[in-house]
Amino acid sequence: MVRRDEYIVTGIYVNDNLFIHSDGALWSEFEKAWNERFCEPANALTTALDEFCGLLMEDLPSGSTAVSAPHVMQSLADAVAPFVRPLADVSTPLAGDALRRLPERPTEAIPLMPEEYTEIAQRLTGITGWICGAYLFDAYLAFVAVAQHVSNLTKRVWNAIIRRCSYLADSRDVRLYYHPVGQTIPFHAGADSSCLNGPLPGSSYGGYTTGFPGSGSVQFRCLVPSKLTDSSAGSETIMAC
Amino acid sequence: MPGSKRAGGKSQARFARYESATTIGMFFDLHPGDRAQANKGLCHDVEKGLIRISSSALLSALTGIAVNSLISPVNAFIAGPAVEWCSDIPVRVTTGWSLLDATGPGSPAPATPGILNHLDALPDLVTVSSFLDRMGQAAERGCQAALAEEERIAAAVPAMAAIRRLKALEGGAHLPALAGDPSVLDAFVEETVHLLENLFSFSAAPGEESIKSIPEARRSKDWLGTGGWKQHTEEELFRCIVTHKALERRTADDYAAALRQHGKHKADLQKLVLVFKQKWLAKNVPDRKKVRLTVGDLKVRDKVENTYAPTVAFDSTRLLIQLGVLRGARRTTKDVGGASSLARPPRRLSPAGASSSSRSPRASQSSATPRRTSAAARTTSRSFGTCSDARALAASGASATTSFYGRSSRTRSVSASSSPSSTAASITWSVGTSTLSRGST
Repeated sequence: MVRRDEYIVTGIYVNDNLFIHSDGALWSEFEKAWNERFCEPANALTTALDEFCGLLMEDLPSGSTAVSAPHVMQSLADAVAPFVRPLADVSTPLAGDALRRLPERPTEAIPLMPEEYTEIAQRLTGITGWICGAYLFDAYLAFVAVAQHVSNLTKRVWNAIIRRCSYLADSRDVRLYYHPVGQTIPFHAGADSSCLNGPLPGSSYGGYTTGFPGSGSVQFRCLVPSKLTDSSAGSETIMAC
Repeated sequence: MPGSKRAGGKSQARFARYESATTIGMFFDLHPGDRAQANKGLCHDVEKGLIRISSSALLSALTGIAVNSLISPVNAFIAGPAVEWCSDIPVRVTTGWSLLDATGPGSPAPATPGILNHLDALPDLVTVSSFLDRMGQAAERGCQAALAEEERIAAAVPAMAAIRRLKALEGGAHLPALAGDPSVLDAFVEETVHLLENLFSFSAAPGEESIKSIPEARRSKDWLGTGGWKQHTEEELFRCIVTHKALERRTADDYAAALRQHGKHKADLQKLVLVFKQKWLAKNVPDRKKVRLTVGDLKVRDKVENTYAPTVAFDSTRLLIQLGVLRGARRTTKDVGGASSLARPPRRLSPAGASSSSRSPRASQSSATPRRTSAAARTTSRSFGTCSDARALAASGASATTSFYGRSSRTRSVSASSSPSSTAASITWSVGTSTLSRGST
């Protein structure tokens, strides 16, 4: 909604609404009409710290906004707590050789986990997928890579899930920051990939991101391309497309 | 674990003697050394991951449940904390875990032969605290080994040296930075220590409340008081009936009129359900309570067609936030209270069956596609039309599940009706009409 130099932009999730607005007469009229329509009190509370679809947005004095999801993080911490390994390495969301070894068939040394672990693994994968897709995308590759193998829940896959969950739970204080970098900076996009790290020879994991340089990423994806390539350049081209 | 010892060494020859053992009893039988040497060897091989003890068998042994799963003849069992009695007087409470002779006076029936005959030299291995200590010490040794390996690499690889410098700047525990699969020791610790922890903490796990009706809510200890189920139930009913006027009183004649006007299969009964939801901040930390009146009968292809609501993507949400930051805009979040019961049909029937028009506020608020609504009239024994009725309903403990019927959305009109009803708490309930938007809130 735009009127001269005033504007209201909204994101709607069923009955939750996020408004970005210029806070002028247009917003006052809108808010008055809203309150009448939905029988809300005229002095509806708005604060600088608010939540939308599980994302907590906090305004900082510098004009920046920090995005986090403390409730979901707490859910993850509670869900994974019974399974974390003491002194286990969770400095990265994925082990260095995981991409190569996760697809391996179960063996006597790396057996399938008991059936009851499948539901737990799916739940943990769901929670971490939400977190990675919402704002902590440094674990997005781990999520995509491991999620493909939840149905083949070997001990190795299970350990990878617990490792990713522990990494994210340890990162609960990490937030996604959006900074006022200046409106003249162009929107940037980048893609990256490699022909060597995929689950099959010639395939690759990779992804792309868009956003304003100096600020948090607006859009990001990590995925497995459906078409195989034999070079990094080819992989990156596929990602960029 | 055959082939785990260095070829040609003494340990390899010794290992070859007992590597075929499948039980600890067989291990002791086949081990060439004396009992002390065998005990030492067992500890060493367990810590190194060369010998694996089934975690379930270990747990069973530790809890004194099934010593017989661990082979080898012995008349002993492990006991947990217990009270010692002299006649009928308790004289001492034993704490921790102890090794008892099953043949001694006052002991239970002799246990089936088990592991303990061979563990008299190392009972500390099978007591919980010392077992955890030993595993902790082994883990510490593994950690130190990893750090030493890291140091060796850092001496040759500048990148590792840089990583170690950065980690030192971050502070915190001095842990290995090398990534990799968990070690055998990790796996052992995971399978034993945490199973033990789970075993001991299992009884403390909280259970979420599962309340499905007002009577159940009334029986809850959280029914009364500020923020209790009663308050939230009254607020929800007040909002639906008084604030949003989503429920209206109707009669059975309305239902009959709707059937006459639209045909037999054009007016349908649906369910209204009160949903009780306990929100949690964390495990064992309850947040607020939530009570919602909504439709319980989702029928996509039959009586009520599906409806659609917009669900903004995270990409769009992040873009909104970024644009707001760039422009220095204000940000406001708003929730449509009672959205599940806010919809109004485009046409409304009068009790006599005549129709009038009204516009759905939900259609203009949150529907990306032309909104399809269904209307309903409650038909079961309880209904309400005023605030006091709503409060009385909550107070009377009426069932949370009631019925209503809705008009087929194809004709975009509303049916109404219902059946009168029974009484409770001296209140005569008639029938209300509810127009509900589905798939929301």
